[in-house]
Amino acid sequence: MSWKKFTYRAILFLIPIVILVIGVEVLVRNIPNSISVSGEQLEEDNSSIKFLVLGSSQNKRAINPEFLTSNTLTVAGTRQGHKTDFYLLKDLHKHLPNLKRVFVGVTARHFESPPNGKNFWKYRSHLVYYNVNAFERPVYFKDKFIFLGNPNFYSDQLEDYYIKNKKLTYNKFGFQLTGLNDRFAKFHHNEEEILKTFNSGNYPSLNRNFLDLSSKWFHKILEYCQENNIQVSLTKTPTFKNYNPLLDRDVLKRRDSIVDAALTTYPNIGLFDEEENTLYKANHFINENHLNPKGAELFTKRLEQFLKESTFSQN
Amino acid sequence: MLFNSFDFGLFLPVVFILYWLIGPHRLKQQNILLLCTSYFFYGIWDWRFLILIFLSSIVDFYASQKIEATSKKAQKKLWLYLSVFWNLGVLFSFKYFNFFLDNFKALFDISETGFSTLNIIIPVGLSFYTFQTMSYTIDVYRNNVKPSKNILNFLCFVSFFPQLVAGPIERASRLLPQFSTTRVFNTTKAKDGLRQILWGLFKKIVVADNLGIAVSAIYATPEEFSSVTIVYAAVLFWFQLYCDFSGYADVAIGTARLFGFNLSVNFKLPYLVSTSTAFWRKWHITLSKWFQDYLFMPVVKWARKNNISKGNAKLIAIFTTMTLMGFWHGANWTYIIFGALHGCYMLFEAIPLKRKYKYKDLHAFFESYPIPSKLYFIPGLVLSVIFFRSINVTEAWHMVTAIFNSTISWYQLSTIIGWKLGFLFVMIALELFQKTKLHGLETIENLFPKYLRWAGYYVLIFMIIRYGGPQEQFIYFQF
Repeated sequence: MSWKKFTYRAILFLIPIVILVIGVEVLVRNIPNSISVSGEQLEEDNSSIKFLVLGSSQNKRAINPEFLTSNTLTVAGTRQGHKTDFYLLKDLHKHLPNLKRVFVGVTARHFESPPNGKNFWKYRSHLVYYNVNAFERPVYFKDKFIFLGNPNFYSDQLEDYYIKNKKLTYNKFGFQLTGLNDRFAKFHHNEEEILKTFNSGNYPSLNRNFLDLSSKWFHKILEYCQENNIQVSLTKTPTFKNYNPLLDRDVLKRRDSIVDAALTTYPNIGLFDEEENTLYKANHFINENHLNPKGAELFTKRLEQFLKESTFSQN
Repeated sequence: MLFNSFDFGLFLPVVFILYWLIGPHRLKQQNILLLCTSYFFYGIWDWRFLILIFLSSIVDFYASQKIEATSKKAQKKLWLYLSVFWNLGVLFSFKYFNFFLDNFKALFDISETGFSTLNIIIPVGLSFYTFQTMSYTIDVYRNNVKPSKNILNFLCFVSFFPQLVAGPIERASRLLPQFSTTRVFNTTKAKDGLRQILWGLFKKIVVADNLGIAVSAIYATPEEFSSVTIVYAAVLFWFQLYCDFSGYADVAIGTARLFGFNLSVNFKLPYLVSTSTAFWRKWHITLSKWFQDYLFMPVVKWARKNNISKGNAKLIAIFTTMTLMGFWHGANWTYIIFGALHGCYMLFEAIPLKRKYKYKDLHAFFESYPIPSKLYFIPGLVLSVIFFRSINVTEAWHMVTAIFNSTISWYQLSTIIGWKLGFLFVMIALELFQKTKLHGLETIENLFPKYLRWAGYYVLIFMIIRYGGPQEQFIYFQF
């Protein structure tokens, strides 16, 4: 057999795989998720959006824009670091002419968790749904295939959505309402049971070496907001009562010193601190440091109140 | 460019088509294409790496020419030393300088401001191609190979993309002549090359990366797990390492075969061995051979010259070679300890037995009784692997002590990786079935009709796509 015939046969062999990958990509894009719903909101309402929520899963789970009076876009995401936040802010700002305020998460883990790498798989979704290039490099053809960014993750999603018929629901702001991995519900929100099972191993380990890098990107966000006259609300989201005491106190101190310094350096910042607020009970959480929709409602309403009462205007 | 990336999936067919379009009768043009594409493949990481690989190639090319050109032994030696000095100097500057400086500062309690470490990145695959070029000059000096007169072929030999970043570490006597010989397209070889690539990707993406998730989870918070789980993590990590590295080797060898090249076998089912001596004959074979030829033998010779007995000379050479082989993996005490532990195992296995026994040493005894010898070797291997995987000695020690201090419970084993452990068993079963073959899919053509074979390939590809996580770098790239 000549090499040409061999190549021809190899191509024939690969055709079903290419069709399969394209088909799977189409199916994946049909599954609603918080990024795709926010993407729709961005496309439809971009000129009326006044608030932007950045940060990691804690912010994503804590702020439900439904309870804010100003139109709010949420682009917070699981394990999303300040670097990604910065790129999202910078690129999205071009499409948000009336952006007045940004919510930036400053949870205890935020500064010492590994930053998102250059090829972070969620960047593909940011590119497709928000038109944001966070790759720190030119966009390649492959970047437009969401499925190929993390086939394992999306295969599970496909299975859940199309085969097991597990359909998650989101409100029009991309806030997830059902299908949360609610660990506390398994204990019927019984505090004693929950306290018995606390396991710090459930959370990825922290590394102090990331502190400088994270705080660099944190400051870049704050500087950008200052230059563009955007108000900043730093958010310390609630934690269940056993969480902070079990966390390394030095981690908290280091985070607080960065936040305190930022509050004195930049004039357009406020801090909304609910981290150790005892108002939040077990039935407000899905786990030690993430709120459930009920908790999010309480947090967001209190945030709204905070904004009304704070010295800088809500616009 | 990673073998398990979309980019490589586009790169390989394009290069393949261009290469065979040029055709076997235009060897020089084919080699130019290979050189350009290899530099492209490597330069994608960082174009500055190309400067270093080019300089290293030029230095070794000219040093070997000079060695050949002169008849004076002293001058030959001078050129050899120049080449070795350059290669080890590059390796030292990029890979080991900071390690030595940090240890020097710690040893003499020198303040941080006295000396500062270099803020540089280690070029990908530096240790691999440095060893390959260095062996070339040494072989020329030893008259084992004739130096290449063709700089294009030599540049191709150093940078050949399938094996550039993680081996196999090829000898000039084997690979270099292939660049000056006409390569004719061979369908059987090309088909089997594709099968080997598929097999390598399965090992890397489906087996290694899934094992890696469990290993990382346990290593992140070892205090949360029982002693059995920690041992289990070390065993899983060893299989992860094997599947990752041998998967890379399979893709490398398979890719080379598509272009009509033959690369050396780097693994021969190392998980079946019962001794450390046998292990290093089946694990990263090209590296072991390199150390045997260029370090072990010279050390034995040197020791004999200094009137050290034959037995002691061998012991010194074993320990030195194994420790340095560990150090080759990285500038960290954990790798040194990994190598030194294997050195100790080998010294133990080299203990001679009395004449009344039918075995000349413990190694021969162990080889004859594989089951009891595994009781000795597997715990030893697990211990060494814990050091290999750990970030520093403190963490490794913490893991080792945790084995003895933690509770013994089994319940966590299934929750960490679950049924995905089955992939490992499938891989082992297929490899054992093809025990004497190059890879796990080699004889499939003789065993099954075409439609079943294609169905099998589609299943493997489906698993690669289905279970592939975000792209993970091959572990051995860092070395």
